[in-house]
Amino acid sequence: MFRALTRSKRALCYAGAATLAMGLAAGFRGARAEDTDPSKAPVRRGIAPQTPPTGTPFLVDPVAWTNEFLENRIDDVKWMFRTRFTEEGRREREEILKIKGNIRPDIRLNDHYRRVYSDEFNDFELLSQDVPQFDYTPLLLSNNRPEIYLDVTIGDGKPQRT
Amino acid sequence: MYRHVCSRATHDMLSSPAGLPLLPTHDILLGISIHLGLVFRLYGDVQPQAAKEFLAAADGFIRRNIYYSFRHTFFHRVVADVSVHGGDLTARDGTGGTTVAGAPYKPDGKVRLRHDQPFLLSLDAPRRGKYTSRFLVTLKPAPELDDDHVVIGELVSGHEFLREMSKVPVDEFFKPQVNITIVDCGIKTFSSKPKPDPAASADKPAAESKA
Repeated sequence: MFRALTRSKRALCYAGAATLAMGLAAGFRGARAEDTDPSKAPVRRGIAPQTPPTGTPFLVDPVAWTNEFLENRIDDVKWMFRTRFTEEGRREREEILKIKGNIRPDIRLNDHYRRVYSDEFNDFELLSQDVPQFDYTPLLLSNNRPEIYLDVTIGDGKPQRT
Repeated sequence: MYRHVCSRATHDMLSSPAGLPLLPTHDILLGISIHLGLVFRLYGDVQPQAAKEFLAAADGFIRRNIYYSFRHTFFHRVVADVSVHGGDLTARDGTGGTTVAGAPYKPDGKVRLRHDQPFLLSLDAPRRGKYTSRFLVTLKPAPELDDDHVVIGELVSGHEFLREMSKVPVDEFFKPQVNITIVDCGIKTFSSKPKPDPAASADKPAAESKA
């Protein structure tokens, strides 16, 4: 009967079997009593539990991880197309890279803006609007006569604009 | 071209309470004069809002994805032995200036100090009683500035260098012929030691001798 199937349907069967085998090899297991009642979990003596007590046996959910990975790759592909094949996209790419601070290494942001513009704070919607400003009130409360310094140079050798 | 000789750590070390030896304040390199710093003390108790604006501009702030700082701005107007003007964050030639919020502000201080001594830091370029980031430093007592300009601080160190700055060649509009550039700026972590009060020091030995 299997032989009677067309070549493409046979290939589908092979693919399904391979997927099932991969899933089993990846740690698929049937429902156990400990999933619903953690008190029924077998007591392991002498070694630390190798898996989280409930849920997936993996440290990360493989399905969610795969979905996230693929979404990110799709975003990468979109970003690539968007920023390489149109002039607007190129401008947007330059603006975003400038926002991320890769253009002017001589600009040293203070701690507040370094945190705002760091990679972990990657909210372009907020950056496109007004960035929250740093509040100097506590500094003035601790020292009501603060000091600033200005390093000045005379004559930097550049030609004067006339 | 300038050689970057000083950082915030150096400034902190210069004013450290441990009293470390002072670094040379001048460096002549290929005709380039570099100074380690003009240090201004802001009167935060008299003009708190202006002090906050100045702290932000010295520290650098960002508005609408544009970075503003006193760094890489010029002193755009120099009147010999009278005043030195700077702080134009936007145009850098004395026609601009901005604030953290973007709009000119009216200082909220209840007391207005007089320009009764040299080396006072004052707000420049008033428009209908409102000010931006532009400032001036007086080199002599200037009572004519009392009506329009607001004193927000004083120069703590770098007096000789400021006098030297005021002697650069200028054109008929008082624009310097050579660039006077702020190559670095920031907030000092440690404040400078207060100057010893001569009156108090004169009283002390007298009191001791009486005892």
